[in-house]
Amino acid sequence: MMDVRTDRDLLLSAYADDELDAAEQAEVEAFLASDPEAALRVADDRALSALLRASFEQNADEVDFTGFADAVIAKLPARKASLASRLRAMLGDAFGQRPFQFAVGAAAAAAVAVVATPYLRGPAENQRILLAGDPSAARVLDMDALGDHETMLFKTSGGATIIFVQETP
Amino acid sequence: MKLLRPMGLAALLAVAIAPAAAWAAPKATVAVDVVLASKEPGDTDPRLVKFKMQFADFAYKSFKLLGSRLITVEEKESARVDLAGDHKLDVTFSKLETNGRAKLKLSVPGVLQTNVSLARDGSVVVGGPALKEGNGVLFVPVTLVEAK
Repeated sequence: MMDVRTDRDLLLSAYADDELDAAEQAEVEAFLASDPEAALRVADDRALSALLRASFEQNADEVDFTGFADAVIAKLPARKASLASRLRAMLGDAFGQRPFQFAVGAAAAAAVAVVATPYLRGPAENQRILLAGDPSAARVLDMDALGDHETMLFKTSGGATIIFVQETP
Repeated sequence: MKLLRPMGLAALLAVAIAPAAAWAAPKATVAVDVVLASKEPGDTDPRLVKFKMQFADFAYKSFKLLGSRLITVEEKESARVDLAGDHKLDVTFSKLETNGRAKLKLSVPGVLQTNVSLARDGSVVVGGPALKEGNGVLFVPVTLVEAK
């Protein structure tokens, strides 16, 4: 049987890896707010995870997967679903069970989209700084710190690739 | 004979123009955004809300967009972008790779030098250069908009 400390460590580790549900996450966050030492340990765990992830992804980046998906798809037998099946898959149960509500909802959604789109769209440069976060789109080949600096390579949980540099203590 | 003359002229013209087109150096268009991050609580530019979410792993609490630049660099050439304070970013378009990716050398003099390979719309963020005044650090997303 695991002791309380081990249970808590497992919970904190799962929290650092974003594996908890919302209720557990809130519980852990309340605990971390009252225990700065545990909060520091979780921050360390997260940093370590980020470094490990960066290392693994860097290795994966070195493999050329160009055309891999196409090659796999090419080997699959050609098969096309009927129009009815494709519509069913696309619309799910909504269309089959409540056609009227679905039609009203779809019309309302379309109206909202038409009205709201000009307000939601920003200038093109805004799109850039959102950092879509496709890790395969960025590969760091090498990095050198200059002067009294040191560098670290991170991949955030959001998928951004960061070369972080700081002055050596 | 009447037909041969214009055809010959067209061929000569094509030969004269083709080398210039074939030897035009590839160009990379690169977007450089300059973001000031601070550990002090404060407002975050609404344009940076998603940026902030992606940086939740860091302890920075507020982000401010200082500027955005779009630069076009020919292969083997460099362009310099003023960041903030004394910091500059030199972007060198080293090579257009056969798969369409661009190899870029990014250099913040006195701080960092790195070589990266970016696909179209791929971003790498140079983070951490500190400003002398205040307690903020810079995060500089460098995005390949186009290379051809």
